[in-house]
Amino acid sequence: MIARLALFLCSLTLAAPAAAQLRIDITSGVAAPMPVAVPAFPTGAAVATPAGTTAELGRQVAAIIGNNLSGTGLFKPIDPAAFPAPGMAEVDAPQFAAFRTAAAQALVTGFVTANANGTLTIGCQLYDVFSEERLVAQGFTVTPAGWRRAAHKCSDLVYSRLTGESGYFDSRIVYVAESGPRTKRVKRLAVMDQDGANHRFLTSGQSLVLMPRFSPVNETLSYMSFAQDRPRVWIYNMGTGQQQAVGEFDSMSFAGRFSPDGRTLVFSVTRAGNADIYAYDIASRATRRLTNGNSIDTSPSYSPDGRRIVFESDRGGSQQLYVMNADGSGAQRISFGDGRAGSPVWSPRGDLIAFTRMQGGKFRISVIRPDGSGERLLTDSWQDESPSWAPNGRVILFSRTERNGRSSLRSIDLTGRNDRRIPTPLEASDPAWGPLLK
Amino acid sequence: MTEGRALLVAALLHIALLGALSLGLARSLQMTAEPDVTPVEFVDISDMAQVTSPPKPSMEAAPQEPEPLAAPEAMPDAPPAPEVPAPPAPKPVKAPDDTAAQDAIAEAVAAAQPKRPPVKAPVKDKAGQSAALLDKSKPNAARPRETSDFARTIEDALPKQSRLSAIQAATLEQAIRAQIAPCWNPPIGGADVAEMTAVLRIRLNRDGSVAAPPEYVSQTGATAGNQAYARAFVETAKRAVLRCAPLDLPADLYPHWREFELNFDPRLMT
Repeated sequence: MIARLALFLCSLTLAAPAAAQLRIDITSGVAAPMPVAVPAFPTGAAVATPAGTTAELGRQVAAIIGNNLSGTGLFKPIDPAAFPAPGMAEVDAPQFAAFRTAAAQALVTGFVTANANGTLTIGCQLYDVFSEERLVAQGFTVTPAGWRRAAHKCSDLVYSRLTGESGYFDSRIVYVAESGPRTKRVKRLAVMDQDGANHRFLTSGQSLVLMPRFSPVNETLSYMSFAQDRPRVWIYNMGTGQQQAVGEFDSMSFAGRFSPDGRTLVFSVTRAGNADIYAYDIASRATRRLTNGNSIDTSPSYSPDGRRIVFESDRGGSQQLYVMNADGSGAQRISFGDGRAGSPVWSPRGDLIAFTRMQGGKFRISVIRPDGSGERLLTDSWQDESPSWAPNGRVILFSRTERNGRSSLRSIDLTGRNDRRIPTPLEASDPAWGPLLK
Repeated sequence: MTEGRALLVAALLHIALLGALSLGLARSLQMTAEPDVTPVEFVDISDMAQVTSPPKPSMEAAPQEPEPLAAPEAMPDAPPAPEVPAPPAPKPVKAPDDTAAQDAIAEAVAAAQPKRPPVKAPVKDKAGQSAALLDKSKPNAARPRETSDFARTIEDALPKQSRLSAIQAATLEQAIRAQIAPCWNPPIGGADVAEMTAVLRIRLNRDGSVAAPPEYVSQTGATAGNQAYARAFVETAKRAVLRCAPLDLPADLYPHWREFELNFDPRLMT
């Protein structure tokens, strides 16, 4: 009996440390970019394609992915000289120790192969260098002309797997390209990939164009043009090149923006110094007036569920933000504080509204919750305006005008970090980020 | 003599057989070892009883609006664009199948969070374990008093060095925290993630190296709308532990840091 009790106590002693288990709160970390290795994607045998050899494409795909990830400010691609370039065999079985030595935390690898039918297959794999687990893998088959999109798709895959948010790299930006002297400015619509590649002009520059906006669902834009000396909103199909004027108004219409389902366009129409917001059904071409009164109501933008609209109005004496139901009822002011607030745009993820805060002689990009709480200024320059959200609601694109009058496109992370210039061949303003491509 | 030879032959054959079997086994393991793309192990709901603090009443618990990112839908008549067909991946990868499990966890967090302080059995004896089981199955059931009394008696009977003094505990906690925090790079700025935390169980060898992969214990703040974020969040925590190992901790206290839990909570970061 004593022996059994002794044995029992002995086993308790051994079990004791586990029971008195420590539980420690880790309440802080570091907000440094995550080091990622993106070595050149190998190819079985270098094959010539219209876009270059598969070996060259493997290098460029890796470079595009590295550039995309670096541009988020959340990742830091490691110099490829710090580790051996993997061959085809190592795509499925990477030498993790070598990447750990290079201080990488994640590895993006893959391959480029040319298929018999002239297409390319670009494989994309993401590994956790420490747990040595493959986190995600996908392959993309593209025409040689579309190889950049495979690199963007791979970037989106990696970004979404590591951050838990959806990506935004396989998307495009439309904006107003500006050239010529201030007194005789030429403004043209231009569209490009979000990284500045595949740039092209959509209009000739004969008429002034302003405020281009992407449809969230297809290859359609709305914009304002002074063509035929009638300033009004147009809808332009980039696939067919066709365009149509929106509604028949005897006065100026402007500030068009699509509903989340792409079926409705909201915009403003001016009459005798007063502007009101209208909704236009694109299929039936029926127009409905949403606001009334003597104030200037403009810059409408739908919530992602399509139920509400944020807009700017001077009905309270100064230019401020209001949220109303999509039928025009129940308008509530949401912006307060010093200065004015304009050009609001609702985040695609719904939690915030970005807008231009005008105070103290400066224009700054700011975000606010739809209920008017939690306003946060993101930029501090002289003249930042025209915010537009990346498709994942994480990054804001805007235009910045320097004191010398030069304007450019910039993007900033929702956290207020990573203020970067988006390269454009000419001066640029009024950007709009399009949806993820299908 | 012949008996000895027979024994030798038999032994050699056994070794050969063993070798062949091991090699064959190793090969078959290699062939079937499919890379696991769902590294987060989501445990049963009953383990949620270990969450230290119930989430505060917040918007997370309220009915959520549809996930905004899912809102834009493809229009069937979209013009043909240079399409990237998404063919079957060259290496078919198992789809993440943890959604249901985490949904259940999220619901459990939102709806059925036990409002009582965590029960810490002072000694993990058989009685303590059964008490814990009782607690989990019936959160509101009164804990049998005699069980904890019994456990306390046992604890008092233990040798002194197996318990940690307050100073030792604080020192050890500080040492672990100081080594893990610089390696943790939590995702920040995501939507609807204010209350997100994750608890991992860590097992270390005597030299401070990781004895087993960090084990998922529980998570708060996960909702139906932020599954991918919740998974990425847990992975950053696991990565922090693996990056920092081996930890440099007092050798004489090894019984106390052989196994412990880390609660990753980035509230102080933003």
